[in-house]
Amino acid sequence: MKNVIEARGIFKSYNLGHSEVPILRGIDLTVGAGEIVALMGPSGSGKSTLLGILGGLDLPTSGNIIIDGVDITKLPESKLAEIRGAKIGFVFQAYNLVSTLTALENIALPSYFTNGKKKDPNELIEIVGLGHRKNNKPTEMSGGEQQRVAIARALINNPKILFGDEPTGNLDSKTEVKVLHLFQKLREEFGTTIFLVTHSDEVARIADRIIHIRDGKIREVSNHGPHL
Amino acid sequence: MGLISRIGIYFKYATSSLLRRKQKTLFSLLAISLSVAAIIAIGIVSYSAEYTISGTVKSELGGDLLLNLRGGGFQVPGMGGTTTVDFDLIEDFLTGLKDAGTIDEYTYTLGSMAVTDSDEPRMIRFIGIDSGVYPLYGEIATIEPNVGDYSLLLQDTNDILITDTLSDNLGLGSGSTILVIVDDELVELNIAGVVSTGTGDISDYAYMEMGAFKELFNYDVAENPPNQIVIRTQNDYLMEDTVDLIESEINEREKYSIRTTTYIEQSENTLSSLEIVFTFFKLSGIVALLVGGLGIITTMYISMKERKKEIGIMKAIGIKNINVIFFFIVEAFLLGLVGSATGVALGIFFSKQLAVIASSIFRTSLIWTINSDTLIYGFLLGLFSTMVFQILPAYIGSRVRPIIVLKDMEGDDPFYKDIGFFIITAISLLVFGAIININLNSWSLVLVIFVLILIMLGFTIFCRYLVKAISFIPTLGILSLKMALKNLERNCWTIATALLAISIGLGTVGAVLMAGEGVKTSVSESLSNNLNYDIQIMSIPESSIKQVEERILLTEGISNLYRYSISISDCYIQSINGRPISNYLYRMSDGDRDFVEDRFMSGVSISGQNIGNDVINQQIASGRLLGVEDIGRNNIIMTSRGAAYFDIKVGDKIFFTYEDYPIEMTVIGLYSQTSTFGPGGGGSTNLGLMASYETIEEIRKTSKNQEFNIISVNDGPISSSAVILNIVGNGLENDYFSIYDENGVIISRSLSNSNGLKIGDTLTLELNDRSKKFEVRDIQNGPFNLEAQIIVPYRALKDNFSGIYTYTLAVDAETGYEEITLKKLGSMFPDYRIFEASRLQEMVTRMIDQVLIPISIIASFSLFVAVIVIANMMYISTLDRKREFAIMKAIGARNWSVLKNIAIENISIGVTGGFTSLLVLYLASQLMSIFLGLDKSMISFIFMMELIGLSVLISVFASIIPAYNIVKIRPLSVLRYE
Repeated sequence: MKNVIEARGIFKSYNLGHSEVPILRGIDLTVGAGEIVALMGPSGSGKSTLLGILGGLDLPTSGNIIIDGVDITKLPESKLAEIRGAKIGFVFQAYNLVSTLTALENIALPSYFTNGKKKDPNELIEIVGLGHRKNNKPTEMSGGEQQRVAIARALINNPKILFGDEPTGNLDSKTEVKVLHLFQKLREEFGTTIFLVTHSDEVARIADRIIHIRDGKIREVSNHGPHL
Repeated sequence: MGLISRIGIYFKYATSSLLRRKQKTLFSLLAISLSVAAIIAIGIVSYSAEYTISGTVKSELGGDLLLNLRGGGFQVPGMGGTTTVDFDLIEDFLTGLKDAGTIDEYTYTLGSMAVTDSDEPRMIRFIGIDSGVYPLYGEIATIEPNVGDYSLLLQDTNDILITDTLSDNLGLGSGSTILVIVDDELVELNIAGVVSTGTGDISDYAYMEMGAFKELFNYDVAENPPNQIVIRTQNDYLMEDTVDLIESEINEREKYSIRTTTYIEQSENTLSSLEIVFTFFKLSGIVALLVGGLGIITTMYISMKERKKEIGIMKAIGIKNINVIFFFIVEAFLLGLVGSATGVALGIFFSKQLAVIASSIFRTSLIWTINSDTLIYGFLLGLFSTMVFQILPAYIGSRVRPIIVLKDMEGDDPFYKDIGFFIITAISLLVFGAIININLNSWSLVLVIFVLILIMLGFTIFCRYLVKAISFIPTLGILSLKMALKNLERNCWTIATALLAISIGLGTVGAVLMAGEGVKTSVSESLSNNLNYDIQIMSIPESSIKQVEERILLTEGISNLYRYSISISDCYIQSINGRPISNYLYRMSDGDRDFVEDRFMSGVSISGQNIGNDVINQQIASGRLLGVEDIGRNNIIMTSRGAAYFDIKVGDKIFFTYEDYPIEMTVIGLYSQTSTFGPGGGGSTNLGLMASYETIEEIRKTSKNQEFNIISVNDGPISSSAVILNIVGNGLENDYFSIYDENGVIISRSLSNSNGLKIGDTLTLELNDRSKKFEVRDIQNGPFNLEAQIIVPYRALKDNFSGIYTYTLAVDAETGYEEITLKKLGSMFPDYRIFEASRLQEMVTRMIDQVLIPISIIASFSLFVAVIVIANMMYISTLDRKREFAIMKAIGARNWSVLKNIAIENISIGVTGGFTSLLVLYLASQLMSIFLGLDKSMISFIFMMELIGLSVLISVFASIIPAYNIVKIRPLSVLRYE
């Protein structure tokens, strides 16, 4: 299985006032194509930081990140933005849709600014089961619907990898199951690699691998197949 | 996705963002609109002023270009004066120019006189005109019949048009006939219509078609050419070409001295004196724009900060930095579009009112004129400025790191550590500079604006630290004050922006008012220094002057009495040390020559200094000042600055002509003026020519034109008619009359023809109910001295006509006797004008106020914009305290307590703003003392208090709406959602 994510010797610290606070203290991991990986750990363990670095939202203090064969740590911001647009999709806990655009426009938004092959937003909105809500604004939709729109948005540019930061954190259990089904469908239909940060056991159950992180270091990796 | 879709999403996002943030959008729109309105209004008023002045000049001049065929004055027998022009040559030349298209049209008028054949004979002046072209500008308005085009009325040879004044005097109107005597023949003329000159000129003449005029008066133009020809050209370039051709083809070739005057030269004299006013206008508009821009940048920066997470999301999903910038620029484009369009409409509205107010600056009613250039420029300036002001916040926004989506922390590097920030700033400034240069038309003024921006930046940083310092003031346990001051500290940058806006707004208006007070004080002091008398008695005839002086000297309470200075103007410099003045002009640089020709070649003045009495404001540079040894002698002093133009030194002889009478003066000293006002003083570039009072007194009696009435010819009565006499004296009369001749006059040929006067005939002249009979000694070609029909020696008039030369006496009263002396002199000399020196100061003060008020209004545009900016800042500041006020209300505080808190914060800002405004004022006063030469003005305590009070008022007023919104907040809704 080809690796789509490789992280080598990742260290990350932030300057807070006059002191430097280390967050990640040497992370090495790989994620294969089509894998669903869950990253779990207590609050303050460095999950979001690691997710941000793997997703190209931030750069490590030291170390390398290779996304689909490209070392993103050496790229200028404009190239990094291209990688984010073309190879990576993000789903956030708070959905983070643009409130002034409709569901369809939110889904299509990344495609206006990137080159390369794109999916049809009308198709995507049907895939996520919201064809009847395409002209509604986010404020007119439920949490689950918004999250599904966010997932569709993340897929518009045919990303290799889908990153999720607590994607089901704001959803009720029923909706959570629907969303998780969707992730599995994506992996099956499009071969999308899915990397999720989560506290939820339900999310962990669909993962092929669970990575536990604590105090900025990987403590445990457990492998198991999909459960649902 | 295509470009169109991308542009579509930019506009959709921009529109929805602006609508989502209604209050901020409204504030931004208001700031842009008012700034653009200021530029438009001021631009329209400036254009209206230039248009009015130019139009007035053309009408007064009669054309674009005026040719003076006579150099000035009459031909003095024995003098080598100007060559008489060959008028046919001139006409052929002008016709050639017209055929070639160089000039559009030319025309001239001819004049003559005839007496009416009636019971009460009356002298009428006739003016021959070419009705097809005259006048080139303006109009002759028809009164009766009111046909519009007056030329329609002149159909037959004997048709005339009379002015309304003449119509009243004759008691005749349109359709009547009138009999006149010309060359002893009776001619019947038809009054085809009554016209008005439209200039308010009380004139008494009749118009005739040129051909008919020449026939009637047997007028030979070659023998008696007109004094002036007016020309109209299609544009200013052709006008300049015409001037050059006249110089090269006529003056140089034929050795004529035809003087040309263009309307541009005439209006430039006026407009150049107003240059500083126009520059002030433009700068006021740009300052208003800067203040507005300040508010826009701050609002957009805060708006960007509020959307940092949204920007992070965009970048997380693959949108690049440049796209983020475009999102904001498109938003600015929409704001600029709507704001500028509103600003243009507002500006047009304001300009109408402003044009009325500003009329007092230009001393004439302005013709309100909109030019499209001003509107387009104002609109584009507003639009592009808004986009330029947005570039910095947009750039800073584009630098937001996408990690902010996951981690709620300030992950950005400070923008001032980013080299790209400085590059963007430099590019923005250059673009902004290029835009405003179109209006200012001067890169040095653009540089001044850049310096102002830098000062504003520095001032904002200073205010920021000032606010921080104020937040540490002991609050003496007053909780609301503590909360207010802590909020000031928290929002120090926002408050600093508000303070800058208050300071600029109040500072600008205050500086203008201070400058006005400074000018008034300076003028008053100068007047006090220069007026060393208390009372002037004016218009004392020569026959009475000695008697008046004796009576005054016998009056109690008088400390000094002397004859007040007189001056003669229209003296023409002919040569220096025997070399013609043209030699000096030839050797000057183009710029100097233009200046000298413009200022000194159309006539200069020579003042007569009352040695021993007049205030001396001269500091000798070389030679000496006037002394008692110069009394009655042709010795002059002049400014060293003026002398430098001609390289004149002490001992040089200058040859002038005054009313064609030659005067040779010797330069005995060069000086610089020590007071700001007066000839040669301060910034004046006059020659400052001065001789002794007695010298000028003699010279002025050499030649003078005065209107008399002819009341009788050969002892036969005629209806009184006006005629201009040239009164010659100071020895000049001996060139015309025998030294024993007390009753002789010389008359012009046209006067002779119109009255049938021959040598030996008599005519009786009358002035102010005094009359005398004279005998015609000679008939010569007139007019004399430009416009006179009769030459008469002064000695023949002075005993019968006392008011020809009048005197002014300066009286200095002893301290404490001023009022009494004024009353006494008033009762002693009820027939003379008595003037109190202190009233002059009042008049000058009033005049300065008339100019100061509209200038203050224009300066206050920036204050209006500042109020908007302050309101916006207050809104943002109180918004930050939403949660705080919600908690207060949740624990039982009433609306009044919340309002009190807001009020304390605003008053603190207002008081601070008052002090920062004073700082701006102080700096402005230092600058004014350097550039305007005013004394360093002290800012009075009362003025300080007024300024602080006004600043508090503005701060409180500006926060009314935000305060009202905050007070309405329900505590629960704010606490539920963070």
